[in-house]
Amino acid sequence: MAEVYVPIGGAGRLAIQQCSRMPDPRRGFGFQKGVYHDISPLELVAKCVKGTAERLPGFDPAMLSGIILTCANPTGPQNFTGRTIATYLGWQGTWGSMLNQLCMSGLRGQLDAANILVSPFVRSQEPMVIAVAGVEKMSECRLENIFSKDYCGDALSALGPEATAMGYTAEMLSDKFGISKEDCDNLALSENRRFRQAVQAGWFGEEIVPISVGGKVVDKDAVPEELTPEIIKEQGKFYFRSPQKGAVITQFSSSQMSDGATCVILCNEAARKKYAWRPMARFVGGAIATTDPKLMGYALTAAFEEYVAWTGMSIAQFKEQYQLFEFNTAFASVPLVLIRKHGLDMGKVNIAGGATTPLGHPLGATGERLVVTLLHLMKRLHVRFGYAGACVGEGQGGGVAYENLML
Amino acid sequence: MKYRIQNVAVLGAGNMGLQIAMYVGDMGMQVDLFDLPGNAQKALASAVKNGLGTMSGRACVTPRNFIEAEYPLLNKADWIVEAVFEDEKVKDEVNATIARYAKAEAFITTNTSGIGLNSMSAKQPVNFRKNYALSHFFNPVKVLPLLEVCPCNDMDSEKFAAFCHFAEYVLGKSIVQVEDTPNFVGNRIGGLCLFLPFRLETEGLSLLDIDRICLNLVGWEPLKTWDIVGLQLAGPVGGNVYHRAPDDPLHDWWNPDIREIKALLAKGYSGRKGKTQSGFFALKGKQKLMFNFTQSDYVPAELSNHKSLVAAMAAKKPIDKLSRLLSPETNDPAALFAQKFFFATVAYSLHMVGKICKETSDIDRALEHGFNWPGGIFKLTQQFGLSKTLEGIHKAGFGHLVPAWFSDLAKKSGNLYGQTDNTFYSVSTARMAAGATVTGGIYPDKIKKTESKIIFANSDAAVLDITGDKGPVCLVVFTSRGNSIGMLTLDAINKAIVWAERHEGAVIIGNTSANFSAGANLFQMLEWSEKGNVQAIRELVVSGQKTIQRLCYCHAPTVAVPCGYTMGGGSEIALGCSRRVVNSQVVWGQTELNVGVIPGWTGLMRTMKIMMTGLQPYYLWSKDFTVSAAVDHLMPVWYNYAWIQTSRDAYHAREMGFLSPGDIIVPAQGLGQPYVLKRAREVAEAMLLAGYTPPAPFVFNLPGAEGFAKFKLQCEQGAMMDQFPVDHPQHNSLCAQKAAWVLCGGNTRLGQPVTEDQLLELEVEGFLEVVMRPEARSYIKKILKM
Repeated sequence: MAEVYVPIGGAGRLAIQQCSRMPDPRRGFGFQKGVYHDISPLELVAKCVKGTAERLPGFDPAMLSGIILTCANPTGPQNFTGRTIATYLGWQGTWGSMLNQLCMSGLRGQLDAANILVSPFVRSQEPMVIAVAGVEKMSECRLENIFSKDYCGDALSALGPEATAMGYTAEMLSDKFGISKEDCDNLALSENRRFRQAVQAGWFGEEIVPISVGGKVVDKDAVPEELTPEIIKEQGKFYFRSPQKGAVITQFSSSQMSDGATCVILCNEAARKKYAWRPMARFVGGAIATTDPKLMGYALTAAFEEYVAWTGMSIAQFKEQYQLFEFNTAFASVPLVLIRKHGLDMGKVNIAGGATTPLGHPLGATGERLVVTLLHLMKRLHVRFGYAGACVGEGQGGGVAYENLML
Repeated sequence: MKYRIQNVAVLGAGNMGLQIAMYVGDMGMQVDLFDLPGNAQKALASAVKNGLGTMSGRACVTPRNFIEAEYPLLNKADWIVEAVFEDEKVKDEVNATIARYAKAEAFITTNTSGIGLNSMSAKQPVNFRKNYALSHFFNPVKVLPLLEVCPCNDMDSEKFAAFCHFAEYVLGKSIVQVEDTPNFVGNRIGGLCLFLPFRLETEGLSLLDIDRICLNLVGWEPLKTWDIVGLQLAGPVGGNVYHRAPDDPLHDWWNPDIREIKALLAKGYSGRKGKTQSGFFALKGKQKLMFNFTQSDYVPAELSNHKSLVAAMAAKKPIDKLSRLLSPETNDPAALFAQKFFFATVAYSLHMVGKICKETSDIDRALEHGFNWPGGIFKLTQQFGLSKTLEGIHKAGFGHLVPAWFSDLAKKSGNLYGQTDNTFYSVSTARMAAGATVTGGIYPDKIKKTESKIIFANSDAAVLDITGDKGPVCLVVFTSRGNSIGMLTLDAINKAIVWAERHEGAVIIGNTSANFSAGANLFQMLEWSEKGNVQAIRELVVSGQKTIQRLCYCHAPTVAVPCGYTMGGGSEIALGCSRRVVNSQVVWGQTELNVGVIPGWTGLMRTMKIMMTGLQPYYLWSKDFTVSAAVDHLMPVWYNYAWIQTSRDAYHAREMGFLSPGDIIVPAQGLGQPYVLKRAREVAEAMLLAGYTPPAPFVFNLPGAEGFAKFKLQCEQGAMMDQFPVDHPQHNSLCAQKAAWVLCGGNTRLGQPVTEDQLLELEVEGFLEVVMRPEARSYIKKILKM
């Protein structure tokens, strides 16, 4: 069976800082200049790819076959491909492409890379290494209405207002599955607490790729202030529905807008052997699912079920084997639906925080971010199998799973 | 003496210094704002966000540090305003530095409210004293017109006159010349009124009672004012007089030690700007609370139902409200308080005329323009009656304060203000004097008295001949209720255009009332909508469009003079003219959404046109002008309508895109509309002299359905996510979509030229669709208070 690996060091991300359009819980959706404000997305992701690749023992650019860039808003400053990254870095021998499946772009990029690496249609018996790199400067996107800014009019008309308002779909999801405001707040509180603990305990030290910004080295995540129920009560605002109509999601239980650049490097067996790279993890498989666009959050669950079905296991068996999960908390109600429906243990989900923390949801870079964190956590906690999943606007969902080879 | 003020130095970046700097910066003068290192920079950082001025105004203000290295910058200034911390030693040092560096021609003024002008000037050399005066602004500078001025003893009188001219005509302030006495005029009389609630008997009166009594008595609320300005001001306002004017006849009442205020400050309630945003009153959600001093906590604000106050509140006319409190049927606590309050204020003011200022009218103007009293204390006295006032003063125990001239005047049945003419009793000359008028100002009411000057008149408007000596000019004055616009108004405008074209003259549309126009006649619109009379509404809309297009394209130059509320149809008329001469105090907006409709009288087309004429034609028609780009440019225009944005003032209106190049802003808080109309006529005459040709019609490049989809999404989502806190969110969403449809050119594509007429057709269609809906009628009824 042809295998796909992530070599040690091959999963990295830039430190998360407040981005230029930060929904600072203290200030609502306001504008403030983040650390990466003056750096172009191309430079951010190129530096991340270079930093991650150079961690691989004996790395030489000739080893990198290709770069799949994943970006959910590839317009303006983000309108380039993986090949541009290669050119920027001077790595002429590396091909590159761009992939956009909105929020799951990163996950889909890994799935596609894995497929090429073992594909019968190319010379996959030769050594092949593909970097899946994600970038999203949320300040470069018109985030108030990412759809209405860059989508064509026909697409908007086809989708309609309910499907293009992400937060609104999350509210509808909470209605359908009985998620309360308290549930959402509790998830936000626990993610905040877990992220703060993880940062302070240095859990992200290995995965962060330091880069220099204006002469200073940025290699630490920004620690947010502690989130308390009082703060949520005093400052929580409902953006997607009136509280009189049963709104449950505030800015605290929504994903934050961060500038992110991430990279996961995958290689095939031939490459692993040739370059003598010790593998950190083995790519197990992935899944893509669809759902009603008006309830797009449900696709996280749908993709999960699709993946479990692919494994051939029952849910119970799956839960025994898979001991760690990273779900993208686009809105708190989204993972809660999955957790409730299949009785997952909250103590195994997003244990280092999630998208409601400054880790945020840098759209196209989220898929890799989830996996980067997942792999390093699996390694730290000696967990064998882990799964990362995300929901996607327009009603899609995806997931990928890895096996930890460093037990 | 001719002075040109181009560079201004403001010393002190505190609240007042910052406001003065931004006020002057908005007018385009270059300002250096000095303070201790770093402070000016910090203060300016949030100036625009806090609504103190526009971005371009802010760009005219440079933060400076008051350090040795930067003192020489003071030499650049044509006018130096000292607004530093109210401490005599600090001011002396600052003044010494000014004296060293100021140029000989500079005006040097101080914004002090607490320290004697001459006591400060005496310490400075003669070059300082010759140029030194008081310029006391009132907070907020952009809102309150009052500027108290006073030359120091050694100031050159010509120079002082020049400064007054500058303050009135360039700064546009309402100036009152005061004497160098503690608190000058505004804070002496107004200040006393602020202290009266704590010195008079208030047993049986709640805090709300006190404010409501004063509101019905003089149109002003003392406790609310305390909350707005901040309770901590009791110290300086009271202390100034208490410590520096021991001879004040009500000296003890000025004691800054006020029990109630101390109690509130101790608990941290310092007024609306404090942390708790509470003072005498507080807001809990929508409920108004008042402080109860026995319980030492807030309770729901309630009136005590005193008969005289109830009677006053029931009266319609202000003079009746006043009378029912001063000559009540019962002598309840409210009446007794009102009487003491009124007669004490009148007596004190009478006593002070001649000491703190020259005339009674000065005190009235200070109260009206510095404290927002609808009518000054002497105007009220005139209305109530001099003899009755004199009687009341004696009865209240303040007879000893009344000067002889007033007792004599009352005995002779004299007047403080002329009944039929603009005169007032001048104390200094002991006879009636002519009230202030603007030299060369245009007074439509006076002009209307001359039959031959009326070119045309109907019940809603009049066209007056205001030809000067430089060419024929006519003035269209709205006379309808609220200056609302209907078929008759449009007719008058058309008649004016006919006259102007025939005589090769110009048309000015403006008036001297508080507002230009708040829009179309809604009563008529409501009736037709209820009856389903689409034809009549269509006729009105099309007539309005044709008239306003004629204003733009006729062969006579047309000048609009917006002031006050310039909204809806009023805005459309103003925008349609060839040029605008704008009173600096204007609330400008396309506010049709308030009544549930879209602009139908060219408003959408015109606001979009103003924006687009700012774009390079080669860009507008290039491939770079994509759907996204078009939507980006149209969004602010649409936003102004969809979120019912109105301007803070004329400078803000310019930033919002209501003014075109060539339009001018005239600050005229003191001189008023007669002066602005005079300036408008000068502009019209200049246009005639230069030779006027109407503009060419504009051709639009618009994104059509593709762009519309993006606006539609925002509207639908907004309504869906309850983001419009209005009565009928779906209707608002529909109106916003109709407006977006017009702005996107309807069924068009980029690259296809769209004419003004096509857009006007879309306006008519959209308007008719929304105005016939019940939600629109519900909004109209709400505005009309039906």
